[in-house]
Amino acid sequence: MDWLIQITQLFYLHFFHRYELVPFLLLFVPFVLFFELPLYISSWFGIFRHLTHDTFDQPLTPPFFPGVSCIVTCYSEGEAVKGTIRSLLEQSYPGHIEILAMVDGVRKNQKTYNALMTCITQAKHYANRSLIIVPKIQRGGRVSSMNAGLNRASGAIIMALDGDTSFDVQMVHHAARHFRNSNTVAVTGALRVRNSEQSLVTRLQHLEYLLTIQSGKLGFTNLQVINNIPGAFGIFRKSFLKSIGGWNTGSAEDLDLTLRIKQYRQRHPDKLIIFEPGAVAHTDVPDTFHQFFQQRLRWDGDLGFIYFNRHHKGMIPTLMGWRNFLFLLWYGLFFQIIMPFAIVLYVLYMALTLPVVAILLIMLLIYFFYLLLTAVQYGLYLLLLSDRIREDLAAAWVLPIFPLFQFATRLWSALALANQFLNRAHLDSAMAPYWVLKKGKQ
Amino acid sequence: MSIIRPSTSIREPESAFPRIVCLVVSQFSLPSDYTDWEIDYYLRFEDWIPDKSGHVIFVIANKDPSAVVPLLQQIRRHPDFCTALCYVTGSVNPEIEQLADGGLPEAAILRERFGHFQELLTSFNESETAILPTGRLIKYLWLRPHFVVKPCHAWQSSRYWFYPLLNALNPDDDAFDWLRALVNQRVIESVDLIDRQRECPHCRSSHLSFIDVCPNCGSLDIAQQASLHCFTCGHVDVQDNFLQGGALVCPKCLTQLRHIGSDFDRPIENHGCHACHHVFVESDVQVRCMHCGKSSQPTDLVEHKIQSLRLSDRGRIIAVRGDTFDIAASFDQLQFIPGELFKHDLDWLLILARRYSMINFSLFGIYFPQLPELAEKIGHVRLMQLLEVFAQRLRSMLRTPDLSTRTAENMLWLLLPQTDEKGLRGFHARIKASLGDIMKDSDHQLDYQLIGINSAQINEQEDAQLLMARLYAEVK
Repeated sequence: MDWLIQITQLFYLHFFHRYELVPFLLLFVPFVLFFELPLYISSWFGIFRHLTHDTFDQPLTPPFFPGVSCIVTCYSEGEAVKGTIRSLLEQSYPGHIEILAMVDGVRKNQKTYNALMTCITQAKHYANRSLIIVPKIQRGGRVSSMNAGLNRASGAIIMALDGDTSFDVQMVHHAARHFRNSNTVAVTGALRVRNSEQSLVTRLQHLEYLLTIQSGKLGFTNLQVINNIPGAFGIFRKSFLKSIGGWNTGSAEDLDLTLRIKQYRQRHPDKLIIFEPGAVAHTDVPDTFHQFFQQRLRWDGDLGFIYFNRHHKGMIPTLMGWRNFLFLLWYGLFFQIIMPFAIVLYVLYMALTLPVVAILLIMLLIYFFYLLLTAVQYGLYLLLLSDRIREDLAAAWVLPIFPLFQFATRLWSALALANQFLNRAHLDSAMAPYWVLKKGKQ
Repeated sequence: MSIIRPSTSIREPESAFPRIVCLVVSQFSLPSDYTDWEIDYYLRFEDWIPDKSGHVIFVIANKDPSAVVPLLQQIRRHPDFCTALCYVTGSVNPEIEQLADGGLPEAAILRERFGHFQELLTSFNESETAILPTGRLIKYLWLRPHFVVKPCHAWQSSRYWFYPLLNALNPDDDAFDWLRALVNQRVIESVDLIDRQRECPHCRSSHLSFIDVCPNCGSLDIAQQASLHCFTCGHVDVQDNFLQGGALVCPKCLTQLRHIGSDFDRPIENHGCHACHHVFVESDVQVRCMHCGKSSQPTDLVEHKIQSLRLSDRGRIIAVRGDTFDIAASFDQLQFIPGELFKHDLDWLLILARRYSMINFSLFGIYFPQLPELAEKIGHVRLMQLLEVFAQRLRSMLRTPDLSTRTAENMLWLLLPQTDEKGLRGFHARIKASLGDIMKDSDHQLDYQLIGINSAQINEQEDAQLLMARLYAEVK
């Protein structure tokens, strides 16, 4: 206990005597309290609401099994695509599932195509399942594959899925039932990390996905402010998706589509975007820090592109409604764009004005604060929400490192945004060829 | 019915000119270029009175293939004229193609063909074997050098595949069995493998029905069923038993199965029996004969290779020489082991003898230099008898552990373990005496060379291969 007393004394000496508490609070409190805390609290409430809804609010429902078309965008997945197709064939959903495997640049990706061809005979053994392989000779990118699939799809529900993502048997069952409500236009589900055991960075991402997607989005769905429908796992009503013209060319087409759907909110306030925690997809995440930061460089850069280049005119309350507008302002603009820069500036400011011991102590304080928040969120998730407690418990040991990981990603995010603003990085995407990206709205 | 003989001016004095026997349905006459041939017209085959001294060419003038085939079969069954040239005037189906020599050609071509036929006939050795079916077949094939015995098929036939020529030449024996014997005797050889046919072991019908049945109770009432395999407890059951309100829950351990490949999988046992509820991977197959109705196992079925065949070199030798003999057959009672095995054993004995001084053995070789010539001179039957007597004696001289093999038609090898130089000399003398005895009784001289070597005399560097090659060169 001695060390705790010493630390308390140090704090007392430094902040109360030398600097006073007030300026410190001014430095630290606004960021966490005003920007971070509501996010956590909303997701905590989301978890409770989901639980009560799940337990008590279960109306008797007649069977509803509309046709589902799964557009699986395939590129260089190779043999891994078989697992995706198999997990779709094995769905417990009694309705018809049409699997449209779009192979982009088929000449280059012959392996993927051959792997898919071996699935054809397998697919014939399943009732109510059909597998259509669409080889695209000219590479057009993800968006081109998805729009081509949308044109061919026969089901009333469209699922845009990645070729290296596999699904729980009840995924379609859970997702499709939301479309009974004719106002539901889009559904997204929980993305889980499949290769969490591979390395430290995959384990950290396992925890991150678990906190931000599985439990984080529960808060957003209650407020009807889902931030994004991921491209690897997006479920839409076909008629609605067709009427808004499908996906737009360019990187971060998923965020672009989400924002475009939100821009109908003011005129059609009853249209719903729902997060369904029971619809679970499993995906592989980057397994080295290098690859991870490369991925985030693209993702976070794309945020800037979408908010400032594409949708700066659309992000107004008259289109989105006040609720979504404020959410975007708070979460999108402040949290995702301004915060990273603010943190950088804050750290620089501290480095210039405060002695090293003071910086370390502040950092320690922030660390413990975040650790507490994360631990509460993780604990709630584990106790109330997790459907794979044993697997998710394995993430507990990275909990102490997680605040550091978050700090690093925030700093990196600032770099990614700067890179986007200065280098127009959205044109340098692996998702589509340059000539396609160039044609999109800049 | 009429007989027309060709004018004497065309008939060549040295060759026996054939008479044409034309089997007709009604009024019919051969084309005008045949006017100078001797032609007899008959309505029925039975009406024709064969004249053994002359040559005959048959012409069947009938457009109906179903009437032509029985006529051809009658001809091919005839003891004296079964190999005669036969032509048809109507269409040629595969069965007719096998039994006849094709459509009737122009007279000039026929004359040419007959000349060639005649040449082959004179070179054929008409020995006593030609009265047997095998001899007839050899003769038939010898007279038609490019002929290939082909099978035909008919769904009405209980065996499906059949050989028209073999059935006609030998109606008493089963064609498939006869064919196997012919191939074993190396009289004919395979040209092409056409099919592999399985037959009912009870009635030899090839009309079989294959049915899959439960391996546990043999019931027919089986079906494919979707099953699941829980990874948590290993429970395997029908998929329906896992379904609980849209979710998959293992009925045994109550774990919810979420993802295929990590929580559960499809087991390979995907068949179920409705009679005994047995779940299995692969069904048993039972064969039911559609003729006799008996059931059997697929492994019990009689298997036949359906192939096209032609006369082999050996068959041609028989045609020319009358018969051949196989020296190997005369030595059969010596119970030869394969040459490779013999060499292997010899090598092992060599190694043993070099390492342990008490191991002692001898290698003995018997060479008959002029067997083929002698066969020509005294006839193969006599030679065979001679060799058989020798083999009998030789066998009485060998002990149980002695090994024998043959590296050439006329080179025998004996490996005699625990035989020293003295023993070898004794063996040498006994063989010589025994061969001398045989020669005494015989009018003919059987040339032979004997060579023996004891392990003590063998060079350190020599192995079995080198040793036998050296001895063979010495004796030859």
